[in-house]
Amino acid sequence: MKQIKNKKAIVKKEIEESRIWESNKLNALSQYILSESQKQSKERKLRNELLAIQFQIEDYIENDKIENRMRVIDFVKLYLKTLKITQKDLANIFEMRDTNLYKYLIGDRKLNNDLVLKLSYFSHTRPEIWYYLQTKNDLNELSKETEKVKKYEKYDYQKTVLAKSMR
Amino acid sequence: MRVKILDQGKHEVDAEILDGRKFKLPSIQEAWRFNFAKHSKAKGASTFVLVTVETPKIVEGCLIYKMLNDNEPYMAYIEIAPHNKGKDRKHDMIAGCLIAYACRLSFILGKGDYKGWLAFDVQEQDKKEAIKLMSHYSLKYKAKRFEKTTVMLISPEDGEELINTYLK
Repeated sequence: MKQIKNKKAIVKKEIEESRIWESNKLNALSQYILSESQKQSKERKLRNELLAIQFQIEDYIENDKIENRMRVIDFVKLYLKTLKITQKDLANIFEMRDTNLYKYLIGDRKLNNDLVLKLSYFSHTRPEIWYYLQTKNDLNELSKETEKVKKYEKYDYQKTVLAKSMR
Repeated sequence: MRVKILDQGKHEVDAEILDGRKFKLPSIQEAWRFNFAKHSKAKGASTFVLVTVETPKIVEGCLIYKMLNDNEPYMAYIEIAPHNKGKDRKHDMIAGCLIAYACRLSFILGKGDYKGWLAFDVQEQDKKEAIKLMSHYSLKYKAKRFEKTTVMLISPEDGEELINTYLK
């Protein structure tokens, strides 16, 4: 009996869910957020969108597993869409040829300091995250290669250098 | 996500905010206020726990996050562990880190005009306690009360500031 009483007393601690999820309150809240959001400047709204992309890049770099592979170009496209410009516009801003920029963004060419700094200043992100992103994808590719480890066993120094000197 | 919290001597402690699915979630039986084990099973609920690197099995704080109507960010439940409450608390800055993390999720998951806004309800039976808690959220985390309800809101500007304070 005592146990039941105690249990009742404990359960009382949690508020009734119906009070939290009361639909009138939530509808009014939705409307309020919309009205407050409309008071925000265009710059602030853009900042909200750009921060969302930055956080997605950071999460992609930090996550152990890659569910959907995202290349530099995939994140750059999110910026282009948000800023309503084309890749060609970006190439002009970066004083580069469109085709050249494309090769860097899809990973055919490795990012260099010049492009990383351009991306960094353009998107207001830390320059290193662009290198981390490239490295993250490289390491992911490497992990796939190590699955085919037999192919590389012949490069072992014991089999190449030492075996030769022993002969 | 790696974060820093403080110990009793105000020294920085390395901690992480992790997906709660891999953890035994706290419940009322373990002297927590909310039954996270139960609420985490609700439709659309995402649960996160804060643990230190040194003691990765001890939950220091817990958060349940939801999207209302698929586009409105909502912090459904947040609580710090009983041993982190009061004067003799073991760690500090846990609530700040979890609220900042929820703000960060609001930027990523919020859609349209709701992007970056974080709403939450102060769930207290006692009105005085609710008001006390609301003023705490208001002073410490810049949350604003929605009309005369117990719902509070953190704006994108203030959310960004919390992220810069607690998650950097």
